[in-house]
Amino acid sequence: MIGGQSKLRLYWDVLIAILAFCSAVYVVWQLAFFTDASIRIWSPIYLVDLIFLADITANFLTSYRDRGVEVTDPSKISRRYARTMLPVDLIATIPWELLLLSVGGEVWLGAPLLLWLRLPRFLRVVRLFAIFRKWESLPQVNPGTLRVIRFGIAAALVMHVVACGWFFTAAAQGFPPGNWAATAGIVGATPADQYVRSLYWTITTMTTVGFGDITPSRTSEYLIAMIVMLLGASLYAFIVASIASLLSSLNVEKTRHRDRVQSLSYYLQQRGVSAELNNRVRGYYEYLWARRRGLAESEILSDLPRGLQIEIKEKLAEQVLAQVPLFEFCSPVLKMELLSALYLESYGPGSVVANEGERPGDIFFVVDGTLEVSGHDNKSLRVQLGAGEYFGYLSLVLGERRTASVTATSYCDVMRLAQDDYDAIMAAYPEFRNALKKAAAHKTEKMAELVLEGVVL
Amino acid sequence: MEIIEREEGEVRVLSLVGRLDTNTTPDAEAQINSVLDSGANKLLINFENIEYVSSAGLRLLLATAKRLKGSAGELRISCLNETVQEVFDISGFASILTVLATENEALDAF
Repeated sequence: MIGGQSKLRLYWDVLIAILAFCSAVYVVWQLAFFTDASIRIWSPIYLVDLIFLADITANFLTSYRDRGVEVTDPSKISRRYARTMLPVDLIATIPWELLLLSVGGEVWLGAPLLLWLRLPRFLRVVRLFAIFRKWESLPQVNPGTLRVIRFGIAAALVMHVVACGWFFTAAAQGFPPGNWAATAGIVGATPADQYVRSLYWTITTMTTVGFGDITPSRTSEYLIAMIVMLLGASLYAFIVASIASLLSSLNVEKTRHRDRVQSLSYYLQQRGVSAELNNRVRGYYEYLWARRRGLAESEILSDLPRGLQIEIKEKLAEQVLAQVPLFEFCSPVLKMELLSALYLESYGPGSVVANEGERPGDIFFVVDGTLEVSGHDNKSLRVQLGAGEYFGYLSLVLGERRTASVTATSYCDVMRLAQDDYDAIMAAYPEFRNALKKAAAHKTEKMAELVLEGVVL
Repeated sequence: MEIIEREEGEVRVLSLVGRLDTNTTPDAEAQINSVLDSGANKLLINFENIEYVSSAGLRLLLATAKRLKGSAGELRISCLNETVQEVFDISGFASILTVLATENEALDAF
């Protein structure tokens, strides 16, 4: 069984996507320019067919996700594949032109029948876009970027088909007198030159530029030109609108964050807040963007079930878990309980994390940054708290108001445990007290010095 | 707050009764300083009849321990009730101050 989102499948899908694109481009090109109109068993086209045959086989063995659950049952996989992509894959993979081995060479609409029978390979673009749709759900892929790439490929294919079709109108009729290719002087040119001129006409027509150097001169050419112009006008408008929308959606979070900062800055300015304070607010938002892309953890995780929230918090709090001795002495269940209760806050330099005179309340765990303890009248006590340290438990257990303030001296991330949660955990997990006791033994010297100074945090 | 002082060999035993908080700590501090000024350097404070200790009380104990350490003396604390024991445990001061369950254990520890 091949994992639907495994690296092996990803690399295979990249190969298939490239080959699908190349196949689609090639079969249309060869029909228009009558190239390779013979059957050669060792032709690359048949090697690619073998690869797509292997892909069909692999698809019967590849798991898929259904409503968040990975399905690995072979019969379910087969039924799903048969119902969806198998018919298209089969039509695009079977070498229909090999039937000519029995019927002999034929010509249809001015081109060898063999080349027409190779055309079903163009249907591989369906597989190509199915792969893109699948990649949109991969966490490591930016959906906006993928949409831009997908759109670019679709536009390129349309233009290629139109260019080849335009040349075919002249070539299939054997370049009759007055046809556009003769007027443009490319009848005897190399296929590459002929293709470039055809593509040039396609792009100038579809983008409504229309230099007028290559123009239709026969009725069939006029008909095709009209269709292409209508198609081009619609497509051009769609391209411009889509690219604008796609580019703006590439960084929607950054745009939203910037708008929020600007709105707040404008509001503060209107309310007469000092430029210095306004700048500090902007600085804080820059820090928030750098650390967490402006996302509030509680909002982002709130849709997830509790178990998944805890797993994510455990991963995000790895640094805290490693540095704060408290968690070392907690059982897995207690650790889970604490992680689900802790929530992350960020503070900029100069922001007060805990105020002198506050009623006993929360416990703070420093994740990153430094904080300073200051006593009465903001007199610095020259005591700093850094990553891995925690405070607030003394005032909580003594039931006394804080006698000092704690202020961030750099940008800080702090995890807060609210008093209600502390009380609930203490009541439900008596071992929590032992864990606190063991953890407190690691930093009593600093706390003892603070208590001797009359500081209760 | 009432403070009962007695001697057990070289050890001075102070039994505190009531609450060791901001209001009562100055009296306790005065008594302790008086004991230490008299030359005693082995002090046992019995908390059997203390129902509550505040930060002021903790500060007094830490200061006393620091002073005795400086003069090669020893401080022992005994008979904490559950509430006071919790304060000592969670603050971590149970690892700085020598706390014993009973007075006899504390006396034997000297």
